[in-house]
Amino acid sequence: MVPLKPLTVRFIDNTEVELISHGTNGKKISIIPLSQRSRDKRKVSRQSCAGDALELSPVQEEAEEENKDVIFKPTELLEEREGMVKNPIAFGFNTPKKRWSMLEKAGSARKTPTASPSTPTTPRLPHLLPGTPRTPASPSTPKTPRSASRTPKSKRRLSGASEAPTPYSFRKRVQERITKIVLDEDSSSSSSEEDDDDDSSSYSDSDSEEDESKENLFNSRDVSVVTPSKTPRRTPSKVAKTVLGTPGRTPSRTPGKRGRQKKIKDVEMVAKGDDYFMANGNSKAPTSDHTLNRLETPRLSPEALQSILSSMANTHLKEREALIEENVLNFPRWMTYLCEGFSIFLYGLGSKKQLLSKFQQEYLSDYDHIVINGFFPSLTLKNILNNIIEDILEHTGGLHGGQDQLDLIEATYTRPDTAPLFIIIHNLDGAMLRGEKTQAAIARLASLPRVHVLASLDHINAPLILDSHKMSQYNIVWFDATTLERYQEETSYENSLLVQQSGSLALSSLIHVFKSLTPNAKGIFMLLAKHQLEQKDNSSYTGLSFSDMYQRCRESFLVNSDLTLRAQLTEFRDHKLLRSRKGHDGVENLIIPLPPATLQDFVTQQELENE
Amino acid sequence: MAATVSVSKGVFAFKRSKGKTQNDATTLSALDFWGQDEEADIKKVTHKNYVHCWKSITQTLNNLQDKIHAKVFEELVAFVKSAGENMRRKDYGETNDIPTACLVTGVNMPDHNSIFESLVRLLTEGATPHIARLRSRDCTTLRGAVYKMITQLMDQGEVVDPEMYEEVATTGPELKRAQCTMPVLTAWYKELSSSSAEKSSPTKSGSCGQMTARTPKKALASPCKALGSPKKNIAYPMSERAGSSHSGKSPRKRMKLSEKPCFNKYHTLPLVVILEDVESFPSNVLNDLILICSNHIQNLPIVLVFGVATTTAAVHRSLAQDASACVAMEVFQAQPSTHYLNHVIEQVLMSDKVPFHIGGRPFKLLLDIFLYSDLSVEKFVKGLKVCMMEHFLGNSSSFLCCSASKRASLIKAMTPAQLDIIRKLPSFRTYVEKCPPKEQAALLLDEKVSKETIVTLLSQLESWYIRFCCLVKVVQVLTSTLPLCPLGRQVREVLATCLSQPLVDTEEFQKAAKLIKLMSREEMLPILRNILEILQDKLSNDEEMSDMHNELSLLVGRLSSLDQLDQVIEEPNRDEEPTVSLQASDRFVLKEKLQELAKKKSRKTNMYDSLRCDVVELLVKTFEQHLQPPSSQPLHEIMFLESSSSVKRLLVGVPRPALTTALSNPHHYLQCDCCQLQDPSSILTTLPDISVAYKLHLECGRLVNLYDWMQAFISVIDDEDEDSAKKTVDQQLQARFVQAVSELQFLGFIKPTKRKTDHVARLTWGGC
Repeated sequence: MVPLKPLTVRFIDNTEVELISHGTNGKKISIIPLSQRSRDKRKVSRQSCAGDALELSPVQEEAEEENKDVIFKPTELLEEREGMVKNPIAFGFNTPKKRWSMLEKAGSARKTPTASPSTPTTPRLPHLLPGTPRTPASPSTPKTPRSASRTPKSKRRLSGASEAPTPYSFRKRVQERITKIVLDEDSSSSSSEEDDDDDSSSYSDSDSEEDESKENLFNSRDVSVVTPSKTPRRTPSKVAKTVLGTPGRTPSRTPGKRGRQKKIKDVEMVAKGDDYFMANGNSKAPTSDHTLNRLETPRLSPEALQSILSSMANTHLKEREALIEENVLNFPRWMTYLCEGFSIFLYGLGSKKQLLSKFQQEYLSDYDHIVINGFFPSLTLKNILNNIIEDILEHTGGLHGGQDQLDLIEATYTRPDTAPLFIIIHNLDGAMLRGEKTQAAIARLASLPRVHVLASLDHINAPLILDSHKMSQYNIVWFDATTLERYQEETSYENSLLVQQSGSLALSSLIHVFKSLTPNAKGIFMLLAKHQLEQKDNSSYTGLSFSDMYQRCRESFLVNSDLTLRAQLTEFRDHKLLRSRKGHDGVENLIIPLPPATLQDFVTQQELENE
Repeated sequence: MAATVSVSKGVFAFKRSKGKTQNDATTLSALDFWGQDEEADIKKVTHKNYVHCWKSITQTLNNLQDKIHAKVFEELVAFVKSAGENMRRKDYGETNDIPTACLVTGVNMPDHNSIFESLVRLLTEGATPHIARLRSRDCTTLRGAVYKMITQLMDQGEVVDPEMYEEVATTGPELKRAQCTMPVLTAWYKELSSSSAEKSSPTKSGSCGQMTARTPKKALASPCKALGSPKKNIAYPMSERAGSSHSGKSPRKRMKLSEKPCFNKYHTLPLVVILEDVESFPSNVLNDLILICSNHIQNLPIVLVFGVATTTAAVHRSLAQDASACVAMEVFQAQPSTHYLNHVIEQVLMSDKVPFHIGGRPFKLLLDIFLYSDLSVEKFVKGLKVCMMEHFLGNSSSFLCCSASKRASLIKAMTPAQLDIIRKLPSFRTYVEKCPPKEQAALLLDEKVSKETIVTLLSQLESWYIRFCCLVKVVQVLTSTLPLCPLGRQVREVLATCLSQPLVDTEEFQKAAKLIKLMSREEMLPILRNILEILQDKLSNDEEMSDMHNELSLLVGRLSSLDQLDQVIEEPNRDEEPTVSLQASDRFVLKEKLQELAKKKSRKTNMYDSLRCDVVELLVKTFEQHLQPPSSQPLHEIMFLESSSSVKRLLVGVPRPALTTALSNPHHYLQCDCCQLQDPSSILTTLPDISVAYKLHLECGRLVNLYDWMQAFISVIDDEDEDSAKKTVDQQLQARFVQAVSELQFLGFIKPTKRKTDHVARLTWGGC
């Protein structure tokens, strides 16, 4: 054996000994003596001081910062405080939905204080619905086949009650619990005790019932509840009755309900990244195949919609007024900030048009101002600039395009003696203002010292149009102007699936133009219209080619030369009755830009007149 | 006022009524809208205070702006000058390289405008009046870029040279777009140089007489005549570029070269073209612009300045090889914006020139926005402005927040009502409560006494703040070099901590104090000397601090004189050092032995240790006494803005959370009795329609069936639909549903889809 050399230990510094003995900061001490390390560091800092040409006290260089530094956390910025809007609910993953969850949810609304508790359905649904956790539907869960003979109503209620597939783990837990109950209790005295049990447990009673029904569980006393799913044709009222029939269930329900909901909510708050993939991985959307055609009036006409809505009073009138009032109190502050060179951005749910108009009337009548409806579907930047130049500045003169106009406006509104201009923009995030160029131009306008911008934002992704440069040009001050008003005007330009896309406007204009045409021209147009109607079921129809058209027109003695046809077509085109497109083969295809229904109306009307 | 609803128009202009005088409308002052329900005189005073504060801040900032980049700007100006001189030399002739300065400005885009403004100012003063600033937004086409460049270059000349201006004025003040070509610029430049030569040396005028004989009008007009359409103008330099790059010497070029001596002799100053944001220029425009410039470099001493936000590699990426071959680039690094911010904090926030001070939370908020959002100093200053406005608008006691000289008269003229405002301040109340009972009555009732107290308290507050800032710097110097930097490296971090809580009580400071106690002498001495300097600078006329200063300097003196003494003590120490022999038997045994040894090694408190302890004690004592947050001081409400919530609401918009909150819990805004939700995910029938529709759609996956949605919606909204057949839906209910859905579409939660009939697609995930 080679004798080992005795270890020699030498202490470098008192302080280090202390450190080692304390054992707290030991790992941070390296072999280099403290003094040396510090000397290196000091060298750097001294250099930085020397490099400073200013007579300021030494400012440390950023470059010096090392990774191991304590990170300066944005506590103030990210802090949540009472009374302020909370962030986390806006973002995050949600678990995928079951097929009927929406109806269940709707059912859950039934437990409102306004609804009378004696309504047979009320006690049933609330227990059933909020308790069901939103977890992925396991594909293996057998779904009861829906029969077409059922009335929609019963289907709705029933499906809400019985068809919701429940995840396996949940089922298992419930099953276990029930097994336990069965083992512990006598089946005769079960119901009231189970209630007590429920109050302390986190699962809703009705859920367990439902699961029992699903799993065909062994407890015989639950037969009455099991029935609904076993006999799907039963009407919902009967279901409700059977539920009610269970003794001692409803009265003791309320105290336990609250605690249960809270617990379930806690479960929901755990957002897992996997859920996103669960939701998106399943390519088949579990939605029903119902269409709106099941309704008697599948689509309302826009006029009807508007008239109904305007005749209908909105709820919470007083509260809405109070909200607006609150904002009106802020008007002087808005003005102050505008005067100091800030732009005011309003956000929050509800149309802010009324509010802004009020501001406009009360404060801006003495100043030049323009109002821009950002939601207007054919708004262009040129419109805005033209309005400023022609109507406000009253400048007439040839200007080359937007850049020159902007330059002129910039030159005018940087002069301190110019009258200030206020720009009110309803929906800065409107479809036509979202473009990068438009935004850049508006931001440039907003940065001018004599131009003041007041804008509202509604889209959830509206902040995406702002980058840091634009933000600083706008110089934004935000105000929460939630009004909860209807977006009636803003949405009136929207193409909703639910609104009948009537071509009434197009049809009337078509008729007007058509009346002024020569018989031959009418013939040409009718020919094209009829051809298009014949082809209306052909989805790949691109239009009638010019040569075909010419051939047909010649055959019906409508034109005698290529040129006359072209002249006629030009007239149609000018009135926007016709659109021509180059096809794949380079042939010019002619098409009437109207929906088939409108065209059909038109053709039948014309034929009637001719007869 | 006309309605702003139309199916054919999206923009409505309203000109102010003509009845108003011009004067009335042009003067728009914040004073008219300042404050809401305060007395008029307070309103006026607070506004005046605000204006005054803001003015002094902007002044400081303006001074700072030039200083901050002084070094790099100096270099840049020198570079431009020398480049101009280089080009004047004859041997420069053969190369086509454009001298280029590449100014790396950093990613804080909003600040760049002011950077370039001061650069232009410095260049005009120091190097040349001929400067063109090009921004990418003006330069989407080559034509636009050349037009901008040439008009700006020639405009500058006009302004500088009034004689020229008059002559040019005869041709019309504005150049036509088609006239802006490089030949025009060349002609103009020759004209300029020869005329200046004429001025400077009239004897030589004969030699270039033919040149000056040409009137500017001719010079301007002739190239245009030669070149017809504007399109050709563009094409012309391009073709020339092509020619020259291949053969090198086209006949035209040779002709130019022959003219060169004249040019060289009577050269004036270089033409500087600043491209502010090179990265966002279209690369073809940039390439062509560089090639054109390089072709005219023989006649026009062009110097390019590139403003680059990221790295110089970005320039090379966007340039083609032939263009980047023409650019002789030199890189200048501007100061990072954090550096600038540090100066702003020191000169604006920590100065006694501005009576308004910012409290801990708003300061932290501004810092957070700066560090985590955009690193823009300009935005920081804007945030500071908002803070000031909030302070002066929201706090009526702020009418006393002005410079000390004005304050005396203000306090004298205070009305009883105004005095009551001050008396009602919570910090004044606590101050009164601390006073002996006799004084209490006087303070609250006697006008004179309270006014006097207010005066003294305010001046105390001011001197306290000076002390406070100075000590913050001391703390920073003391702790910034500690390992792990428990209090942060920068003054701003220390300041944020000190402003919000008593420093000595913080965990970070405890940690730092522990580490200071371990400092070696070599480390400690320079730091302490630094501290002494700071104290000397700032607190020479503060009695309270001068004691501390004296004491500290005494200790430092002893520390430094310890030198010889220490050696003596240390020597024997070394000898004594135990050389422990250990058998390598067991780790645990070794550990125990070491620990034992460590214990045995008695803390021989040598001189240094005790002195160090004294120093730390002294410092901690001082910090404890003076580094309390401002809220501990009486009358701090007048000068300090402590609450950050109002400022945060203004500066940090939360559009989306506000929307989702309003949708999922309308009660938050409505404050009605009927819509109180126990659980945010539950539904009540009384909720607004859109909220009901929103909550229902949350239950769906990616696609939402409209029919089912409507049924669910109606069953929520409609109470008594139990028996009605489902095929006939009440038109009103349907209309409400349609409206709610289209509102959701408008807000961006759903969009129509064609994947399944009568379905809409959800665009969001989550929510409750």
